[in-house]
Amino acid sequence: MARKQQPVKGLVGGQYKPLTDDQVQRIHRAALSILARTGVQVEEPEARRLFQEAGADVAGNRVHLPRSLVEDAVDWAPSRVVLAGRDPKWDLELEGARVHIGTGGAALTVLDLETGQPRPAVLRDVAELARLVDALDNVHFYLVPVYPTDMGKENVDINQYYAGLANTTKHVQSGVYSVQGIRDTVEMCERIMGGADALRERPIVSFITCWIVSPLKLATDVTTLLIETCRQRIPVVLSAAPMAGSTAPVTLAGMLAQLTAEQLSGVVLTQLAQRGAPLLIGPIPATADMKSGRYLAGAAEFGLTNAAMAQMGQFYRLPLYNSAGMTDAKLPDVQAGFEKAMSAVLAALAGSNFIHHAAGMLENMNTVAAEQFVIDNDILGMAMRVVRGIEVNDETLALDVIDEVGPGGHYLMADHTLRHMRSEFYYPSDVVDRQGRDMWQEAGALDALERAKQIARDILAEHQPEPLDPDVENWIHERFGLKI
Amino acid sequence: MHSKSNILERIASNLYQGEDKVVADLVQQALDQEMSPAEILNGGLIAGMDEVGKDFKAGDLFVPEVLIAARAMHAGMNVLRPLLAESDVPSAGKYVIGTAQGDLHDIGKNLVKMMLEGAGFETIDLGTDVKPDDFVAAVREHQPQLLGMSALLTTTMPGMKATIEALEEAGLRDTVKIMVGGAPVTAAFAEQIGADGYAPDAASAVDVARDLTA
Repeated sequence: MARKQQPVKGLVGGQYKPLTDDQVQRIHRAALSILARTGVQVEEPEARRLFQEAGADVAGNRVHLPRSLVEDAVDWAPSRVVLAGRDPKWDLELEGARVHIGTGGAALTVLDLETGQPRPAVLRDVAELARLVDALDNVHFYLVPVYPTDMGKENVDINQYYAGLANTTKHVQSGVYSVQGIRDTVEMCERIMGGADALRERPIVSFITCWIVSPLKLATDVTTLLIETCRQRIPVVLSAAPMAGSTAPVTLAGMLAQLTAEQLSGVVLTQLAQRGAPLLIGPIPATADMKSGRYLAGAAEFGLTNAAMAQMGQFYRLPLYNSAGMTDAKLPDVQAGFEKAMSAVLAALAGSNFIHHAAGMLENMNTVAAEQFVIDNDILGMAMRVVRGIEVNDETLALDVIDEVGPGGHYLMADHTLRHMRSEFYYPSDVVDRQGRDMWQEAGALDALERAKQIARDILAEHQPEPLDPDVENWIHERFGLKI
Repeated sequence: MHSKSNILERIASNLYQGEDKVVADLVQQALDQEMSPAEILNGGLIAGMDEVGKDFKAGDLFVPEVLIAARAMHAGMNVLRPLLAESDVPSAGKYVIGTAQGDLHDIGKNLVKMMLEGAGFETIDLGTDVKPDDFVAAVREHQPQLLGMSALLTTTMPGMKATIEALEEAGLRDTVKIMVGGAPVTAAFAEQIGADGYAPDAASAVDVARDLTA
């Protein structure tokens, strides 16, 4: 009778709207105005050629985009993108206000599970964290959370995608670092899926390109990678992360307008490179700490503005990648807990399609800890329960049961209770303690952090994900000479 | 032999599922096949309840599922009881239970009562807002092994102490073990007012009751 709760992904959010419809329109018009008046700086020759041929006004490196081109490109881009898992139960259908949440990258540091001390992330961590995430049902995808410092730019792509895919059946996404790496990864995935078309139909990987250096400047090398991923017809993310106060106006509205303009310039470029190329816009608004200039991931404005960008994505009908569930804390402490919970709930309620960075991350994007993935799994489970909202119908209003039980009775043995008690509430893991004090004390009086560490240890000791086909596995190793 | 063990398994599994009518029917069928009442009791009903207890402790079963399983246990016992020798009837003990004077909140008390019954205790429920004298009278009349009191309000907790004092005055304190519980009640409070046991929730109340009567 022990029934496990079904993972809930793809629920429809959108209940939280920090912007009014009028404010959305004003930000949209402001973004068009920025693209026409100020434009973007493009040094990559092919991108500039694509813009020029499409009728953009190119003066030197500065590209001014006319409104009509932007609107056409938004139309050409698909409004629904499927990111598949090796196991189809983990397929993510990104559209409208459907919510999915998972990990983010690319930290350079891992906190050791036993000593709590920071150490450099290595390729082995990409594999181990994939295995951990594979067992955490409220983490819906595996965005490679660390950059393996033992890899070079030339071999990191194929190695980390393999390490991820071999250790989880969830969708694997990562930043990419070379054209050859993209091509190798695509070749590997075509083999895993049984052909080029099969992979395009159910892409088990996708690519992130941080092609913008805010404000309004295209990063030359990454733009080359972006064009390559579009032509591969594998979903690509247009990631941009300005900070209000330093790389964007200090006012949140100004940042949102600039970020929207940056995103739209990317939509144009991808659609010029390959019309209909599947993409996720990737606005990650943040703020700079005016006391130090640092990037802030745990600020109140973080969840607020990421929720606002979800509204912009829904306005353009483009699948959206943004961030939440982040913190500036250095270890899984009280600060980490409340900062993460707050932005995760806001971004999820706003109907963000693909919220990354929401599991395992500490010290904004610099550090990960195994126990933090376990803690975040419950934060995300609770956030998704809130997204699910309250079902109101005859069955849930329960008038017959209320009458049957009557004044002074109880509901503990009503069939209605038995029918709904497992699905109506979110039941967290043992990270969350709900016992009386005496029992808690008997169990060692552990705090959430210690309980999370124990769960992480147990998963890493026991969990074995569904392996790749052994023949495919051998082929991959022979073909690419992997380091793991 | 095969069909015998099969029917016991079905009793146990239906009890686990809380199918009270099915359990009663199956117990009757087992009797019709001339199985002994003790065999049916131990191999079917108690075997099923043991499984329930195990999965509840593991967190796989929830309180309502334990309660409906206990109800199915009762349904089976009602068929068996007339046929069991007095000594074979499992009774873990008599338990008088009620909420403290002034307290009308009884969901916790009811839950404890149902869990105790599921574990084989015979309960005498005095209801809510029970005066110390009424607890004393019930102890005199029913001679229980155990007396349980609960309070939800901090303002009614003193009623528990008053009851224990009243039992002392009546010379009955040593005839009964006293357990207290309820949201604001703690082990320290229980000790302070001279109770014998405290349980933080309904499931552990059964364990405490068993320990006190062992």
